[in-house]
Amino acid sequence: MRKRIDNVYRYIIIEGKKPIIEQVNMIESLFSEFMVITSITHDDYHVFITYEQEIDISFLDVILNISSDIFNDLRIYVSHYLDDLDRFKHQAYVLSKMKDIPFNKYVYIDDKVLLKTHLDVIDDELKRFILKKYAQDTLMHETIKGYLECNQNMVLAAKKLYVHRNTLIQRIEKFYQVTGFDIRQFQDAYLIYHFVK
Amino acid sequence: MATLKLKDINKIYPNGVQAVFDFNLDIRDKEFIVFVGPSGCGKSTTLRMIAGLEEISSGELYIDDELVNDKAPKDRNIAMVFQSYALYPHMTVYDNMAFGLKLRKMPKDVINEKVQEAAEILGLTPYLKRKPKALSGGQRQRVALGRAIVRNAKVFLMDEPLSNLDAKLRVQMRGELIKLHNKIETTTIYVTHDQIEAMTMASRIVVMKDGYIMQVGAPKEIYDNPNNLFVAGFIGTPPMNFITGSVNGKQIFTSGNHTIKVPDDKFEIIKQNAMIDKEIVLGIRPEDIHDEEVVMEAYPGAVLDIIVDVAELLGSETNIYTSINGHNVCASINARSGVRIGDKMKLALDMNKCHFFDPQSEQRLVFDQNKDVKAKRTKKEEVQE
Repeated sequence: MRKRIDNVYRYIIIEGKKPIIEQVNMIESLFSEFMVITSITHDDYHVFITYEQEIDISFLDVILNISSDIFNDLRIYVSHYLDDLDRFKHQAYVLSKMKDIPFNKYVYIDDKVLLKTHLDVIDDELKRFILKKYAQDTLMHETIKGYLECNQNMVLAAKKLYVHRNTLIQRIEKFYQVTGFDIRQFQDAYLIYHFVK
Repeated sequence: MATLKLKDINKIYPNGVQAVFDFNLDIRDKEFIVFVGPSGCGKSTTLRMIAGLEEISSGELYIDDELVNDKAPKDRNIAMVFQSYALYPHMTVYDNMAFGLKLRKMPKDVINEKVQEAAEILGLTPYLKRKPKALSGGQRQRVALGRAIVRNAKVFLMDEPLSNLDAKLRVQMRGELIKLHNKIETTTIYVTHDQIEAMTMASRIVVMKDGYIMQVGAPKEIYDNPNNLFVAGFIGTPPMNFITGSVNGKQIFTSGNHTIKVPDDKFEIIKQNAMIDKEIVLGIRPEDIHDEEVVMEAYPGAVLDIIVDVAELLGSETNIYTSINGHNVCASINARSGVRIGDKMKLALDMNKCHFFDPQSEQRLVFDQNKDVKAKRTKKEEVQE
């Protein structure tokens, strides 16, 4: 498992197709069986849970089971690590984007799914949401662009960018830790290329 | 155990898309009904309407003669097994099976009794303390079923529960599901796009396409007497062969250079449906095309000279593919024939097993007894006059 960055948290949003207000207590007790919940809030259709530690449990399995136990279609958004971002602003943005995704299309939603479904409109907000602290970092953009345009060839890209191969590896790894997108993987590379091309 | 009645059920989504049209079906107690059809045909939507996960736009749904349209899903006394055989990963098998009952605030001893009983039925008793990751795929699937069984639901709804399993396990679980159904006899509605699952498991199959029911019947009935071209092509592997041509007044079916003699009873059907000298589709299943001498002697008028395009040896049989007047035709013949690509050979069609379809309506031509009686009566009256 990759090392994660410190002093960060993650959060999940559980959304019901029908109101889930009656199930909030059940969801809280169920999730607290396998995670230390930092905070939990809810509205009629959503439960928001913040947590800090790594979870070695399939959220998808849990959510599918709750769905069949309470007879309500549910879906779950799992955030990547967050540090200096305003959580509520982040949450509101995710909710606004989730509205555009048909309910039964994805049960498990993360930043990759959000990006896949919103790739046609890349604005500053989406840029900040996906690239996080690298949204305005031109050096990182050029590094990624150079690497991807060398067909993910590390040696060639390092030569073209006038950096040591290890520096390049480090930058790509850092980008992965912060954003959750591993540009060494084709699908992630494809999605991220739209931001730096 | 329960009966279900679906009366004129329609599903129209808020964006105006209609997913299910006038769905009418009576499901008998203890039946194992399979909804089958291609993706987007409305089978899952219908199941979800029965579960109460989707609202019914119009029509009536009865469970045991009680109208349940406005009943909350949890009050319908149904249990659903989803596409994924997901379990709570952090819980033991026992807790996974007990969780739904705990939610319903059942007493502990009742929960224990029900879980033990279900575990016994499913052969899971030795694994009750294990966590899902320590189970095989088949065992996990059985636990998922156990979660449904413990609820003592009147109806089981299963939405492609085997689709995530590998091919071998799927075959094994098919058998287990049939055995389980025979044991607990709960009315079950099972959704799949896999026609082999439908054929092997169902008491009755509901074939759907574009939101409409195409045919309802026992597997054998649907296989032997498909109502239309869609059902004929959808049920059966390899699918039924279709050859377009026409039948003349001398009982000869012609398609390009190929001619086939039509048996008397089939000719009567064509005649009664006024399809003589009109474009018609001949449908014949691959297993009803033979290369044995004895069949050729029995149907001398239905022997075709062909060139083998592809020969697939499957072990006990060989599927050979050829082209008849531009139509791809498959024949399942005995593997001992030793056929190879490019071989020239003769094939005989068992014409008593073939069907004829109207290419316009796509319906199978059938003999209407009433029409025949009527015609005979008119003829008799004419003679008397």
